[in-house]
Amino acid sequence: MLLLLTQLLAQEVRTFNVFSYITLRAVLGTLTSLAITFVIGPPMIRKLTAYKIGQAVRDDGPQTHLTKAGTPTMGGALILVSITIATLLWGDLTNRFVWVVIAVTLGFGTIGWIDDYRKVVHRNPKGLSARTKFMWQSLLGFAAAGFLAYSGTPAQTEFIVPFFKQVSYPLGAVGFVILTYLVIVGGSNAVNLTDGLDGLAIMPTVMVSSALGVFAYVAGNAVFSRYLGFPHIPGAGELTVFCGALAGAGLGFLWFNAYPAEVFMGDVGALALGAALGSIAVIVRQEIVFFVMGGVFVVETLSVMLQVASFKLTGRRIFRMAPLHHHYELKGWKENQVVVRFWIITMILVLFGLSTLKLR
Amino acid sequence: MKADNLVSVEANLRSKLSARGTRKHGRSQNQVVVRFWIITMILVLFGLSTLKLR
Repeated sequence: MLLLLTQLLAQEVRTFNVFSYITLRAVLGTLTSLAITFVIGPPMIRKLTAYKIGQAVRDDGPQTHLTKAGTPTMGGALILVSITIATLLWGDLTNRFVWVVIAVTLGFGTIGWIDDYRKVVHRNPKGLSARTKFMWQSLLGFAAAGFLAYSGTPAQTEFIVPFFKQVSYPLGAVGFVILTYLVIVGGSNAVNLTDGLDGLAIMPTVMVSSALGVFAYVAGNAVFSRYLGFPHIPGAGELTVFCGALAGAGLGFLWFNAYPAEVFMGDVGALALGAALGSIAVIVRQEIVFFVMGGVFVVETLSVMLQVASFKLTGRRIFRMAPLHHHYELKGWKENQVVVRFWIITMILVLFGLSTLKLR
Repeated sequence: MKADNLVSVEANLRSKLSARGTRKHGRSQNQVVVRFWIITMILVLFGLSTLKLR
């Protein structure tokens, strides 16, 4: 919105042309979402506490988590509001990628919202049934994938292999839709599974989002993409603004979510953020790099799958408890140690992912 | 008496050091640490933005 305004003003005063730079708008988007989170956060937490919108803690989880019962949840709504306002203010609203990512984020956020609302407000421990939730996730995932496949050029549907300039695999419309669906829905559920300790999900989300912002900027820039051997995707650079807004909102949320958390993000935040990251990764053609950078999300998800498969097939558990963060807690690590160590692992993975920009 | 005064002055100064002061306001050690990290990240972002915004 402000971009349109500054473009009009630039006709009179040339200084306003500075707002056409994506980098400046990304920084402003980050600061705007951060500021919104800081301003809305405290009153929102007070409201959630007043309405007794508190988290129910799984009774089969670590005993140390029982003290968390009653902590306000659905704080993810704060993140979504901040991201949306900041992106609408600083993003280019004529860009289709921006609208796809906003729609995916808010769509998955709505699914999470309904689930949380039923669990917390209606005191229905089941919330949305797993089947219904998955059905809506699939519907949204396929809708986004279909739109991107329909509106994209061949270069935007190729499967890019990191470290190799010349290696790419043309997916075709069907292959692209399936891959996109898997990345968006998989990312959404993976972040949701990781969201089990204070600050565990949000900081890796911030780091991966920031890195994807760099990839989006490169992919959208004709000069940089040619220099680094990336496919040029016109318009993808605008997602840098969204990534900045996500990082800012995430950091602002972490302010309140750091151990001991004053608020949890709930499914409304976790499902939306995972889907947002997945959709950005697909648009900038960095699925494999996203898989590597989000290694913590991937391993957490695999731990649940392996635990369930092992228990059903052999009757034995591989981990003391799944997802993986509970396994380490039961091994004697403090909650805070698990969280910070998983952050460190993500930092290393993100650094590795960013190295694929140049090492090709 | 003088020694007591010195101790109380030192304690007062210590409590005014930012982190300790914040902890005295009821924040846990971890919250103080993470919030100071967040502030540093924002400052680093601001510093990095000077690369491009000139």
